[in-house]
Amino acid sequence: MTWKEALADRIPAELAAEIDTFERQIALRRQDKIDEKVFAETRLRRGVYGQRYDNGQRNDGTGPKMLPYPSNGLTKGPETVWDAPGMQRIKIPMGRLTPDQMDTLADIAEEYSDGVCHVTTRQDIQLHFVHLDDTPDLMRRLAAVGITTREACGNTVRNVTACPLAGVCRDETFDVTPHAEACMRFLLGHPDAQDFGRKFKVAFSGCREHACGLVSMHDLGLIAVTRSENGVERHGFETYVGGGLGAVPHQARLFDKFLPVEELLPIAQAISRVFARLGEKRNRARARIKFLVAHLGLDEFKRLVLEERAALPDDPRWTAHLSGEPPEAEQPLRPAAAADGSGSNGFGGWARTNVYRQRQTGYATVTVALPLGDLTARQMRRLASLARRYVGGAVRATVEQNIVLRWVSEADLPALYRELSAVGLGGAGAGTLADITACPGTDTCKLGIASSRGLAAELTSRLSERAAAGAFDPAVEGLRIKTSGCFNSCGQHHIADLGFYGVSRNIGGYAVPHFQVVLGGKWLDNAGAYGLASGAVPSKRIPEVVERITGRFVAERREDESFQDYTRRIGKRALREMFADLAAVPSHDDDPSFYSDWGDPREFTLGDMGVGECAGEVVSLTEFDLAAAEARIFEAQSRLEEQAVAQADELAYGAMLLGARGLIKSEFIDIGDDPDAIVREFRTRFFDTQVFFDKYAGGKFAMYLFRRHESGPRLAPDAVHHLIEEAQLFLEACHACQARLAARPAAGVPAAAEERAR
Amino acid sequence: MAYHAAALQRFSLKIFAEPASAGVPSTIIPVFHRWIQEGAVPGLLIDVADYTHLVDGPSVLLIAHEANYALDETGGRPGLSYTRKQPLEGTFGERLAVAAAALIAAARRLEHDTSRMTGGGIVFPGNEIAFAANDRLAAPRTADTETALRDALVAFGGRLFGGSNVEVQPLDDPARLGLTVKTVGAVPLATLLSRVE
Ligand code: HEM
Ligand code: SF4
Repeated sequence: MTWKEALADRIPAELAAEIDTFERQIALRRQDKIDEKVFAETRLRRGVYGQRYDNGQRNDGTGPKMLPYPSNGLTKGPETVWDAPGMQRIKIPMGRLTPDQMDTLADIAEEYSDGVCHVTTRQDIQLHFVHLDDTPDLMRRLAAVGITTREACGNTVRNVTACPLAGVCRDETFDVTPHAEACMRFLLGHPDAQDFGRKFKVAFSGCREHACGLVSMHDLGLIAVTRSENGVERHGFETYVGGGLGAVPHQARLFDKFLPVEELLPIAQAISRVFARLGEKRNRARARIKFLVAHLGLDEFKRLVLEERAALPDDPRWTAHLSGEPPEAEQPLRPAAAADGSGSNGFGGWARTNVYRQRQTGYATVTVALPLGDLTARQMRRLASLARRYVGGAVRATVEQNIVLRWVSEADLPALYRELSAVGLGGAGAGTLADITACPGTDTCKLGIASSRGLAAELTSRLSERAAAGAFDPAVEGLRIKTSGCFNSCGQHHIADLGFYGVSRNIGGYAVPHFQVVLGGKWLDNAGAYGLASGAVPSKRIPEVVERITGRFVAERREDESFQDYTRRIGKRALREMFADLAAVPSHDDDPSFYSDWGDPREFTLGDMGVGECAGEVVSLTEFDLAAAEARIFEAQSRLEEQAVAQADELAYGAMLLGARGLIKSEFIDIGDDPDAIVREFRTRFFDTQVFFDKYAGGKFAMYLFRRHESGPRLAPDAVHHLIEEAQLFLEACHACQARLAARPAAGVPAAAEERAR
Repeated sequence: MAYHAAALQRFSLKIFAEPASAGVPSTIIPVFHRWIQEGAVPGLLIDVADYTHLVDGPSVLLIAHEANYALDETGGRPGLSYTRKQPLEGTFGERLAVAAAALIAAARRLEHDTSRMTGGGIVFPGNEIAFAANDRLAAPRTADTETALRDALVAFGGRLFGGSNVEVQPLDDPARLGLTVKTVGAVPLATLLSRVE
């Protein structure tokens, strides 16, 4: 008996066929009949990601060591060993889970993973340490409870997210759930959404003011609005395009003030078609739709989309969800009843932070606060059983890496709290400073630089007691901390009040884990503003940074002043000075603890970073350096704004060096950090050979680097401003050069790539 | 149906620790890292996963290719577990013995490596090991499978505890198929190990 046979009549035919195909592709790759790069994209589209150390190497703290996986040279992607454990992302549209699905997630976490489920920052569930050979059965078991992992990754429409309170929120304009659901179903596997150069993320929000859907950081973001026409109220969406985080975050731009609900799907389809047709395909660092919108200009982009829309043949699915009753509207399981005020120890504090009174009288939504977004398989199963008894199916995962139970009768709250506490899920402090978001970071991500989870765990353990005791000053209680292991921002540090992303600094010949402190981001107003990097501090001192900044805010705050207003008032320079003294690193002899990361006793190293897989294509070291360079230019700009001219100059110069180094790495991996060596190698390998040359500009952009390298720092703000622009152009040229190199046909391979390059 | 037990390759074994001796889970993180450096326990040792912020499950994992070792807090009872992922040769009884040998060797090593920690080291009385099937296809939670497994575990318990005073009890977990084998009085780990090696 196999799972395929056992579940044959429980899996929808289409899903079953897809999984069978994937299983055959695995078999073909085993026989080397599919190219490893093609296979990598194939599995990524099914949510099957690589994981740290899957190149067969790991630094165990005494030096780099081989991990001799028994794979006989077989790979599942470039430099990705077959038998190495990987990550499985499981797409949970709008975060909606049923108890049966939760049970299955628990079972597969136990059988194929390490017994722990992780809620992600986009309402998905992830499992780690999964063997590729187990993935088809894992997918079948999910399919049998209505979950597909299709397009969980890769250059596709990713999980469609929505406010976890949709439908029960007191402030929403209308419930976005049916529209998000329809959008998800319509775009999943849609032929017009298959040929993107990069991922495409869609989010829905019920209102403008709250964080809800985080619309501003999405490729396509939709906010519920109404309009009155001839006395009739119509539903529609304020529609945004081109947002996204990453090394250089972009705020989405207003595409349409009022997109009627019946136009949602056709416009999403038209946008997909324009993106597929005109979006950048080869240079992945320029391939998100934000670059297309910027390149064409919003007006031209919009014109093209509307033109495309006009030419689309009618599709009955566009409006099918709008007629009749919403298909799966949630029904409360238990009668509405007011709480009687009783409750065990700790109930009051928990209720204050973790219970939301729904707009439906007598009902509440309960947030189950998950440390680092994790829960064990046993907890997942027990939560499923509580959900069954208290709320039926009304469960959603949140972008803050928690799980909510909706439609809890208020009278049941004390009992539910008791039962949650009994399984270790009764933690208070949801939505407070202690409720911290973290990406996988160095725990499992190949691109991780510092331990975002280790830091988050440390901060959580320091802050959660205060959260439970209600001991935070009200001014800081609701602030958000978010951590990412690198600038890619999977932990969404840009939209936190206190954001942190991992960087490394060289001190006395050692690498030392640091975090950039990112301040001024805004979680409310649908991720209304992005924070700026304000200085790097050693990982081990970040808890002090949090104490200091929050302490100063409480002490210096003017009446009712928000944290954003406070940071703006005192200015970036004063903010930076607040923790400048914490940047110093004691010598290795004086305090070796600075030289290892949170939760990991090994001496810190960057040697474990691998070729990462990020949305489809495999990310080379070159691309990684180029992305890091982008982040540095971004920092340079913000420094210049604060009149920190010398630092801005250094950062812009550093960005060019990183870009050059990235290119050199494609040929010479051990290039190192020495500016002279980088410039020398760059000159011989890319300038003298004219490989770097642009068709029109020739070697002009390379001169920007040479000039700054030879003439030293610039002092005048204007000159530095100019240097930043030059660095930007230099980096563009690096990207272009890298794309040309990537498109170079391999010997004997038909020139299809070159064909596409034209 | 003996078929089930015969096909069962994914399962876990857990040896319980003296609760008072278990200490702070995070102190085990450097121990597991050292095990990787030294190849201290059987298997291709890959990485350490820190779940000390969780309760009721694995707390610190040592991930290997063939199996996961874990300092495990499931059900509030600390212990060391060994969860087999890759298939083993031989009969079910032989496979159980191989897994038990890896587990007990690791437990011994853990006793030794923590013995000098402040507050004392972790202690395994060696009188109880829990088995749990970890494959709901090969070993669904049915009376038939439980009977087949019970027979296998009675034999395993006999071997492990030298034939005397073995008690086999179902696990106290409605979602898992498993049994604990138990004897009266402590048994040194070295003795247990010699019986399964
Ligand atoms: C260069 C490669 C990558 C880039 C640029 C990147 C970027 C991003 C960004 C910007 C987000 C979230 C914010 C948004 O929605 O816009 C995100 C989500 C996420 N990323 Fe990455 N990422 C990369 C690779 C990875 C890798 C290798 C991992 C770990 C294995 C990872 C794990 C995650 C997780 C857990 C999320 C939230 C989950 C979800 O979409 O459900 N990312 N990524
Ligand atoms: S932010 Fe960096 S470290 Fe964190 S998951 Fe994304 S790519 Fe990995």
